[in-house]
Amino acid sequence: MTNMPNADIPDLIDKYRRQTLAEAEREALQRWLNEHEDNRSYFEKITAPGKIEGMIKAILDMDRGAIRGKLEARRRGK
Amino acid sequence: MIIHLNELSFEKFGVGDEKVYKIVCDLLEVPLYVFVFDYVKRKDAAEDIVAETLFKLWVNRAKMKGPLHIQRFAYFTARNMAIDLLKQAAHEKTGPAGSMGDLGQLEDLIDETRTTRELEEAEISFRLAMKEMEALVHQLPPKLRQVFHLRFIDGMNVADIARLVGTAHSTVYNQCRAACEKIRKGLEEKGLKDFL
Repeated sequence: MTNMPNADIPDLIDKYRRQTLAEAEREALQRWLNEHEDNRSYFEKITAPGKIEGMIKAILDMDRGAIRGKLEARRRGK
Repeated sequence: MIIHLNELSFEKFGVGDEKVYKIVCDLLEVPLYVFVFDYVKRKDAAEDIVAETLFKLWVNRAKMKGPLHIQRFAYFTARNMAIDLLKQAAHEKTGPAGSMGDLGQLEDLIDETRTTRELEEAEISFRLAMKEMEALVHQLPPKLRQVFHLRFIDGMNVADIARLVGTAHSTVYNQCRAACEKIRKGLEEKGLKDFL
């Protein structure tokens, strides 16, 4: 991640995914991609089909009660 | 996902204030889970690692130097535990005689120079997932939308939501379940049925 406030990047990538990038935003995203190979590599990974949706599925399947139970068990054991 | 704690709250965290610790856990739990799940691909293992990470955060609370330190500590800890688990699984697969060369890809993951960038990527990824989630939630009926938002985006527990919206725990639970089903269906309609 280089030379651009990260705050802008999620918005640009989100708009790219929704195909709602304005021309200036497209150029800004392109500049960021050209800045470093790592940026492009990450971009390809995060925009791969099913990647974001898989993260949402993980959130939906996550059992916060189980995590809290395991955490409390550890704290009681300490 | 930067943890926002004012100076007083951070001081309280350091001396073991339960209320502030719970706020920190609420903020970290979901992004950490998503981060770890991406490594280990197993729900139970990801839940274990998140619980252990939050516990280590409690144990080391007095050593934290600021909100960003809390966040980085949590991600580093979770990441290292995920890598340990993957290494253990790889050893079990290759047997005790398996060489570390078999773990080349894992060794790459341990490269410390990659860590900062990786954490930044994790933050962007989580924000993207939340944006997508918001878009899906927007399509829900108003009541389901409210309950789902409180539960999965704000991170409230069922009892607190029931109290806030003035309904039974079972109603909140059923509404959350119905909302999840609708969102899953939304993902399937986007052509992800096979993936899911």
